[in-house]
Amino acid sequence: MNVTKRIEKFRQSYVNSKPLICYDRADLWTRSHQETEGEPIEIRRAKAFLKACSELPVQIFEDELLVGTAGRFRRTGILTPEFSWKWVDKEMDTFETRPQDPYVMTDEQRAYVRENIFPYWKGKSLEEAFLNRVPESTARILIDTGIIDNDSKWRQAIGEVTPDYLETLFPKGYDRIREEAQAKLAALEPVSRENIEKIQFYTSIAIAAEAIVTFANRYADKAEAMAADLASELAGAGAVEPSAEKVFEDGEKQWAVPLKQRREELLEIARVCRKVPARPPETFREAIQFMWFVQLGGVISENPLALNPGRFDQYMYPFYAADLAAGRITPAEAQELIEALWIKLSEWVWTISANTADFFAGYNQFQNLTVGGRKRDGSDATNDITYMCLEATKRVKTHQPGLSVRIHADCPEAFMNAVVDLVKTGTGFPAIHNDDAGSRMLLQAGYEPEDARDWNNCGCVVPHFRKTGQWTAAVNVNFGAALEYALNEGNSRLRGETLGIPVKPLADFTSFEEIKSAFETQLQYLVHHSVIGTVIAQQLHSEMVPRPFLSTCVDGCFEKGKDLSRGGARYNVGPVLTGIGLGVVANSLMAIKKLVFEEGSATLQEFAEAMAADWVGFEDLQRRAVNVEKYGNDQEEVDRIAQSIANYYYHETRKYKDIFGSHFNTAFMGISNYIPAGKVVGATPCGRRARQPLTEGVSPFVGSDTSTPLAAMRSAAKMNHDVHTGGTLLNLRLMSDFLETRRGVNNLKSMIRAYFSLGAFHVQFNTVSNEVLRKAQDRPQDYRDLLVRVAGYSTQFVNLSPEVQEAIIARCAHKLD
Amino acid sequence: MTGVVSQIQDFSVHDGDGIRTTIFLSGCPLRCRWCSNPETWGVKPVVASHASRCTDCGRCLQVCPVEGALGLGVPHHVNPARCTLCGRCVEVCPSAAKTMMGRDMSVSEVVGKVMRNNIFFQASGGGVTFSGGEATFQADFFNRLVREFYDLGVHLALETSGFFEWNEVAESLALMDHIFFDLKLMDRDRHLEMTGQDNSLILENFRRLASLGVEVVVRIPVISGVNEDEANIEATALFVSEVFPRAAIELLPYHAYGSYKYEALNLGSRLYAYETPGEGRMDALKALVERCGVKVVSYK
Repeated sequence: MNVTKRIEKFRQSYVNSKPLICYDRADLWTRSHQETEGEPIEIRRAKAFLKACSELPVQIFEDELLVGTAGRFRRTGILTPEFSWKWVDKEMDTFETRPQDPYVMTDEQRAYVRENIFPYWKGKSLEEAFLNRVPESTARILIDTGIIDNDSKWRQAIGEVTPDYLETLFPKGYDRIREEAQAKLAALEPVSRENIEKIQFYTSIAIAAEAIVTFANRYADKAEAMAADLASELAGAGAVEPSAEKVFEDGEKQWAVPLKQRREELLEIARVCRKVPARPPETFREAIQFMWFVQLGGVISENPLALNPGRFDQYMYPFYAADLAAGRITPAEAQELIEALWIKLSEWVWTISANTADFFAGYNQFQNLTVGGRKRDGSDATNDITYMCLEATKRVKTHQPGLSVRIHADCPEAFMNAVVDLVKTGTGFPAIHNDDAGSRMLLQAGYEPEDARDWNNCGCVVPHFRKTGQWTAAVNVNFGAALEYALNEGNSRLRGETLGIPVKPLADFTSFEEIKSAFETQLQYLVHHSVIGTVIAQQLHSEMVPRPFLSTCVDGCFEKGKDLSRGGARYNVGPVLTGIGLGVVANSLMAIKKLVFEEGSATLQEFAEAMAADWVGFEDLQRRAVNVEKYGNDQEEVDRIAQSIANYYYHETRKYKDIFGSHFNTAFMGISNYIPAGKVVGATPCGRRARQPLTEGVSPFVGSDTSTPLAAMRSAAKMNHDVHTGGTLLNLRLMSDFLETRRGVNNLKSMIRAYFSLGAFHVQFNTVSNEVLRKAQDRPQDYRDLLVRVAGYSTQFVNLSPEVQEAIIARCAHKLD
Repeated sequence: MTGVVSQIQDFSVHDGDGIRTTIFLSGCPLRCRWCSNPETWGVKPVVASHASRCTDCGRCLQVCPVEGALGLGVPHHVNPARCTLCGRCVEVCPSAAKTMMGRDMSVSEVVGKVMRNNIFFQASGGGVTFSGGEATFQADFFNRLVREFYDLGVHLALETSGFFEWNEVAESLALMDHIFFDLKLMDRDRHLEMTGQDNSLILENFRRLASLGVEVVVRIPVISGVNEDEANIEATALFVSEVFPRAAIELLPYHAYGSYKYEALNLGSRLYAYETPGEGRMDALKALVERCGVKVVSYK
């Protein structure tokens, strides 16, 4: 089955167009803030949102059924100067030429924002406030260093929300949300601090609800106007109705459907946008448009990372089933709408700094959509929509949504087959998760058992639940740096400064345990400052950038009368500190243990000198270090070191609580963070050279998992997955020939089941061959739709910088026999 | 008890059902001209020397305790007659140009290593495949391993040339779930010429196998200019259908992946070059086998 002409046209436009910066949102936001000086911040932000929703350009592109964009263009990236304008000012001259995730921005646009937008925000942005408040002792390792990194938490909005369609948004609709807010307001007197804060909150909610409905109504108006134009065109002299095929081939200025049909479609768009999200949806079409408006509301309000559609198959299925029974929809029509949504989710651009783009490469917005798994009552949750989602990703090959599946021991074989069928396309999708492990992680994080069963992924591989406020990717913590400071008197080799805790020279250590404990001390120090950077940012977010619109999406805020950024959610779960480089550290400690303390074939002094020389002149020692057993090959001793480091990290991190009193959490997840984190770390005793990438998640070091995927799986499964409630990630690459036969497909299913029965949480496969990737490097124009998995997510290969491309090619390609 | 294991390869999926671990046991009575595993001919480990990696730094010569065990020219090939397998040259080689192929292992060591993947066997319906060399050549070691894995409830497969003393391994054969049995050439003289042994023992063992009730797949390595003529393939198929009608046949096209090993082991003079039969030829031969009433299977 192929995609419809309409979808193919959208798809072509998506793969062939570059992201464009559109400053309209920033302009409107700024003007609104100029008008609201002195008002409470949540009301100012709600009013700015209302202004944006009332005045942003309304665009219905050719042949669209699902409508709405965040700016002028299909692929619009917006600016959010209230978070940071400085990085934009500094970097926008090179937006088009930067290696990772370039954007198009014209000189006129640049001149406009410099003259009319940025001056207002000088001294008022979150970035500036954060840099003012963060203590110098933390700043020196936190700000643009790659040692501990949280710039996406003060140069950007948080995102990391899964709107609660099932129990909050769909049953109510925004008219009722506004009415309920007004009812609350009617009953509140400003006689106490608490009441004043509630009044401010409910006012902001009422405005935000009005804003999103206004936005939808403007689309209804636009669609009606377009339909009227078409009607007069059709009535005009000699208008010939061209056949659908003919027009489609003609490309840009033409319709993929006959004009008369298009006119009816526009009228239907108008009807749908008039109804949702103001009122509860009653059909599949209404529900999907509702959902897209909410997604856009989130985009316009803060340019979020990881605004997750969540368990789409669960909340959409009842609409589909009812439509189908009533004869209102065909499976093909539903499929087309889902595919249209996939393209919409991919088109808008998360505008980020070059530094952030290094950590989150590939224009990735991290909108995770999770299908399959179990229902709240424990029964299997798969349904027709589940399969349609897998099919949609297979057919449109967009990098969004981040498609995740939940596999449980008794899930239907047909579902397993559909999952592997998608793996086979080499898109890196879906991210495959262990249903039980996800539930156990949520139980450990303090959720009610049924809620723990109802999880979806947030962003990359973080198990999450829709009634939650959490910073799921708060800080990236560079384990490699901690190791370096332990082995180098507290100094950074590449910067030549003391960035860690000063310690004695390596040669003076007398036991392996002493060295390991020195590493732990440095890690403790990095965790400590990560916590400082996080709680300061949390406090600033609650003061400066509350989130009225997203507060409507998360259960608990309304009842408590409290903004999401101030702990309004039903569950406030502690921020996640992501460890990077677990494999490198385990391998390095193992190399020292074996060569120095067991074999005695090398001295600590030699290691110190070799590290300082980046192995030059120490090739023999490097070779011996490389030959020491490595994490990822099911070797007990080194795997146990990795396990013990991971457990230490967990215990250390759990000691801290955030501003809401919730424990901090740990994760070993991916993103592309292992590449920039590696750039700031000199040579490591495992044989790795300076600036080389570290390791991602619980994956082995690239090229050192010389055994098989089975051994890599066994090693990874030894980590204590349940406790790392921020998620764990294992990436494996399989050469494409692995899945060419039914036997291969069944064997992959078995591998997944076996891995999960060992207790592990996530695995993802890339099945493209290196040959194909090389071709794509040579002729990027021919491979623009080639998706590869970067880490916990997939993106277009040709959009990655040459460096990231090389890192992907270098991943050990496991081949059978 | 110990034996010489050439290699233990996990994640093996072409030698039986599911995900398997293949144990390559050293030692083989045949010397097939197309052999891709010359490192398994003898029942002892061998040190290979890879010319493409050798930088001629001379460290192997410095540490080798036996005079004349290493050649002076690149890549300093090992003379197996003198080499004591001390492994020093492998240890010191900075470019991994020397590798030890094969290792003396105890039964419990082999079992421990293999059983780490039991969870994958269970999930996939896989297990252990014995191969070689000739898997049965170290008969006592082989029998002990088979018994251990059988008692552990592991699915067992055997790849064999069919050249063994029946009584030495009969019990183990009966414990197998699956046997891949090579019938390389039906003509006795030609078999002798191409493998160094005549095929009467092999054919006799195949007849006996029919009485065991084990699932058997006959494998024919199809080699251009050796055994890919219709007459041989047809004779093989007819023989199978006559003595063991339940058995299926798998036709495996010759591959040259093992040729680098001849160079590394200084066996260049014993390397014969053959061509891989094309897909069309393979299809024609499969059709021929089917016409003889024998089922064709593939584990690719």
